[in-house]
Amino acid sequence: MELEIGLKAVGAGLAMIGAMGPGIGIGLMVQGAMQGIGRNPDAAGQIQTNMILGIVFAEAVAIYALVVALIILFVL
Amino acid sequence: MTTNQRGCLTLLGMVLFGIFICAGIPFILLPSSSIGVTLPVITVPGEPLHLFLPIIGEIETVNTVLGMLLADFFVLLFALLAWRASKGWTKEVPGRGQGAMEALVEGLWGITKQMAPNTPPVRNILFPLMATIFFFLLAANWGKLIPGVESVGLIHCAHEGFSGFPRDEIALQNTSGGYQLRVETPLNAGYAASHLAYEQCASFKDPVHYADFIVHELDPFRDARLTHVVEEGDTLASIAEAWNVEVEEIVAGGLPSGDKYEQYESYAEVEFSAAALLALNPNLQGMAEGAEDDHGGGHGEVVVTEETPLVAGQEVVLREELVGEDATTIENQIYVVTPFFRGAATDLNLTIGLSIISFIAIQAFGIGTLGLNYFQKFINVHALGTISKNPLGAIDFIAGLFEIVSEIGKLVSLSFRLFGAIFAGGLLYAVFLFLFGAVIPLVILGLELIVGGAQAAVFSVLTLIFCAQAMVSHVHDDEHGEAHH
Repeated sequence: MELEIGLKAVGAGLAMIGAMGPGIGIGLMVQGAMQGIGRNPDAAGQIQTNMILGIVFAEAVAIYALVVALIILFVL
Repeated sequence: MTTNQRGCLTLLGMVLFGIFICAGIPFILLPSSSIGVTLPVITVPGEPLHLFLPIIGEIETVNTVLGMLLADFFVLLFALLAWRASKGWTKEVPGRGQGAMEALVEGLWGITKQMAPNTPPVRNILFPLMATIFFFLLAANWGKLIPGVESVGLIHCAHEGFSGFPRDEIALQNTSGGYQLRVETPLNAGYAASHLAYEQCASFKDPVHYADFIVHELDPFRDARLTHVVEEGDTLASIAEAWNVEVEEIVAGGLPSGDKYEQYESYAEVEFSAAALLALNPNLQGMAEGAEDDHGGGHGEVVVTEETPLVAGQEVVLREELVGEDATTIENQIYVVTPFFRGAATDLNLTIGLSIISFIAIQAFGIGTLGLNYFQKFINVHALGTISKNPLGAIDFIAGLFEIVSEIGKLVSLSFRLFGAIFAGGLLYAVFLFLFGAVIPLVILGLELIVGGAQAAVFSVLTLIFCAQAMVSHVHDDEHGEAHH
């Protein structure tokens, strides 16, 4: 019983390693946005809108990892 | 006072404020006024509620359904306000409210025009679908943040797998029978409830439930009251050995142990059976009848210690009943609070349902615009047809098969993106409230506003983009003339 709860916790912790990738991806995206705004400050509004859209997509992958961790902890 | 001195005083004030918020409130202030913030019940599916409404009667529902009705209410309220502001859609020169609402809808229409052509199916079906999904999800995600949603709820006995708290006996005397749950220590996550604990709690409140329990689950060797009629020559040790119990259990009468109940140990009961009483005094015939169903009550109780001589015919209680109206003590009723409303998007049913609607809409738009040629996106028979002229068409065919996987991926990603963001946000907020009593969870509330709005926008814009992509004819349609050779 205790072992089961402990293993579930380990599984959830391992599942969240998958949030590393989206973190890097969002960083790269914002880097590109910053460079674009630096070159062309007038287009800042459009660049920002597209950046937010891209960030939401990348964050979705991190959320998949979170959902797997939650399923391991609370459903299985 | 110099600038530096003012800065130092401000720093001191901030440090004191931080200590008060993070250590004073959760560890000193709240426990001393016997208020506790607890970790909420975390379940992925929505929790069921049995409600007794004044007019409608008893209904059994799920708290995410109520959250969805709350979101519906907000959407209809918005529509009503827009109708009134524009005087029934007739006012030509908009005032402030109507102007704001028109700006919102204009913004959505602008995004639609960017992605999709301005054709009647887009204007009449795609734009309303996308805007409705946006407003509904916005109302659902922002409605979740109203104080009271996901916090105010129904107290009920905890089922197996939940963690809850027992009733507060002291408060019971003050509030005339109200339910106040006891949270003794700070950062206490509750006591786990087992199936037996649920049965004990429910049987206490509901005799019908107890009758059902007797029929279906009562185990005479575990649950019923166990007594033993003493015979000649029995000692406590021999009874204990015969029944395979400890001597202390007989002596103490089976009350739950714990320092709270030590004061009651002297009241451990041993009862005289009716037969024993009659044997002693035949005149007690009438009284013996009434004494039959008296257990745990006032008369005939004698404290059994190890020196007490056992009289033949005396009934010794080996174990109290585990489940039943008289079995439940203050300790073993575990209660838990289920919120009335829970954010609609925290339920997988809603997110998967919405993404199925989007999926069907994508296919419908594709078939409506392209006819059966839409399926050439997946099974590219045109590329197979031109394979003699263009051998690389085989790659197009394989790529088309992978499009099927991508379609399923759209279904999964739409639903789980929304579910994960909103559910995790609500969970984060609840855990922050559990750790810090005040002020700091406001930061999470701000994050939730942004995330809720962004997720609503992303769901609707993605639906729009996928539908618009489905309406665009696949590449090989340009070479349609060359297909018939």
